[in-house]
Amino acid sequence: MKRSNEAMVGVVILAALILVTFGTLWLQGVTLRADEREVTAAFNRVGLIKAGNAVKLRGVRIGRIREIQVAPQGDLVEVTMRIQEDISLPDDAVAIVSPESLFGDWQIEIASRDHFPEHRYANPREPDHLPGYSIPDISQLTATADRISADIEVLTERVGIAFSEETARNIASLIENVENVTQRLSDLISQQADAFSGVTEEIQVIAEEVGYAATGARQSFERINQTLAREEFSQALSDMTEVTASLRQITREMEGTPEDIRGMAVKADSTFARINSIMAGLEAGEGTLGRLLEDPTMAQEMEGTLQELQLLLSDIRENPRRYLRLSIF
Amino acid sequence: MIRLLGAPFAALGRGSTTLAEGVGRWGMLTGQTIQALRHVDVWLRLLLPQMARVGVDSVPIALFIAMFTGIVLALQASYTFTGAIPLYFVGVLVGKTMMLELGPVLTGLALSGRVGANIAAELGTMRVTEQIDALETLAYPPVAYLVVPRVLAAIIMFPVVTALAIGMGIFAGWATSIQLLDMTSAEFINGLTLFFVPFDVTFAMIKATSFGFMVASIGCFFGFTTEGGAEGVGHSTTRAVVVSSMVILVLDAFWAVTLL
Repeated sequence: MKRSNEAMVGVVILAALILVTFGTLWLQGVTLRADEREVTAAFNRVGLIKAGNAVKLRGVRIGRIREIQVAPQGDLVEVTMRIQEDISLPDDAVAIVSPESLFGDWQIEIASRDHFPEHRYANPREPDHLPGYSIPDISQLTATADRISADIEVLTERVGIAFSEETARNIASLIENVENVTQRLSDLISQQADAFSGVTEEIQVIAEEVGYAATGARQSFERINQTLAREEFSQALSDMTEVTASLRQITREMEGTPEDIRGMAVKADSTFARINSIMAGLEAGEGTLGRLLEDPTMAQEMEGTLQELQLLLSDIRENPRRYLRLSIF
Repeated sequence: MIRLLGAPFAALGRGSTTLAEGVGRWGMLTGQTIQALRHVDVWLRLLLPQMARVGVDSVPIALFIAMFTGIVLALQASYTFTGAIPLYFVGVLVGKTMMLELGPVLTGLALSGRVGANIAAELGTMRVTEQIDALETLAYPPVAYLVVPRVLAAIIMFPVVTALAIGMGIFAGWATSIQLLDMTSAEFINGLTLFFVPFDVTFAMIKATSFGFMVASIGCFFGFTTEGGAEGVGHSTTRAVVVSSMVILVLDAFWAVTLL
């Protein structure tokens, strides 16, 4: 009986010890496997995390938080984590403290710094420590909201002071003006819409005409292509080749002509020089012709002489016997 | 008239005096128990049988209570949380409640009825049949022989039984969640581990230890102070159960205030 009591007490106590020990370890997330390693991250603050919270990589739990302690200098919080040995972390890995859900449980998410470059990470003293950042918890957000509400209260108070009856009337007037302007703009837009539709129709007509022109051009090009493809065109081309050859021959033959022309030009040049000389003499009143041009009296005399001569001739024609006496014998 | 008006005050005074006297006498017995620890040769050989009676024999009733408590907790949690809070919080509620409150308290209350009453009845019978007087006549230390093994057995075995009860309650909650609720085992375990801290277990063990000491010492006190034959034994047994149950609840609040 006594031995039975001993055995039963031993079994019950052992069962309770095993339950408490392994149950506590299991609920803490402690594994008895040795293939774990420690990683330390430095934070300016750590929010609401505590030992035993999850450590995740890409959303998958890879370990747990083992210890949280303030650095001896008091300016950083160093969090030691135990993660699976076979998990490789990113080269630029950072640790981010964040809520795991909306119900108060927190975690550390290890991620590449490139994914969250906007955070201000703590600068760890040890090179093998990860830079850490803690997302603000609800108390910080509440404090910020409190400051914002205080600012809004001040702003509201100032608006209340500035917003007098006259301001209200002005604003009402302004609103009315804006309404009128809006109405005008609406009318203008309606008119412009009509004009725009007219322009659109014209553009449509133009586009159609351009289309027709393009069709005509296409047909012309087709005809040109057809023409170019005919034998007559080839014949014409060969004829033009022959004509070109003939022109080239004529050109060669005319190559000596410029010298003759040059001689003629020299002669013409001397002739023009002489004419210039004569003209200069005439202008100077030299010679009979020059005097004639220069002296109007002579011209008048000559004119009188000519008139008398005409009278004389007329008289001769009328009375030839007065002046001509023909005798045969 | 004056006597009539003074009666309530007189009753209050008598009650206070009785309470103070009882606490004082319980304190004296506790002091004697601590002194009697030096009689190791007397109480050590009696410790194991008492541990079997207090602990091993109490395991079935403790597990039974814890099992149904776990089932009810899971069902009521899911009923409360549906549509508002994720169901994995059933695991949180079952785990936390069993570890922090219901495991130690329900086990303590159950054992106060079973162990406290048993101790008070046994020692009360020995008192009214003058067996304790006979021990004193034989120069056998009655406290070392009767009280120390029972108190020590309760101090040792209450946490053990409480731990088993907590495990059973959580297991029952888990089984209920995956069988009767729309939950997976992973969800329940996720909730169970979500807010777990090792201090939860420490807190439960501290409470269970204190409950064990109080239940056993109060049972011994009322048994030792039994008067008046069989009726007195019944009276002491009843008082032992009632007082130890009240003390358990007061201690529960005390630990919650001081440790949490």
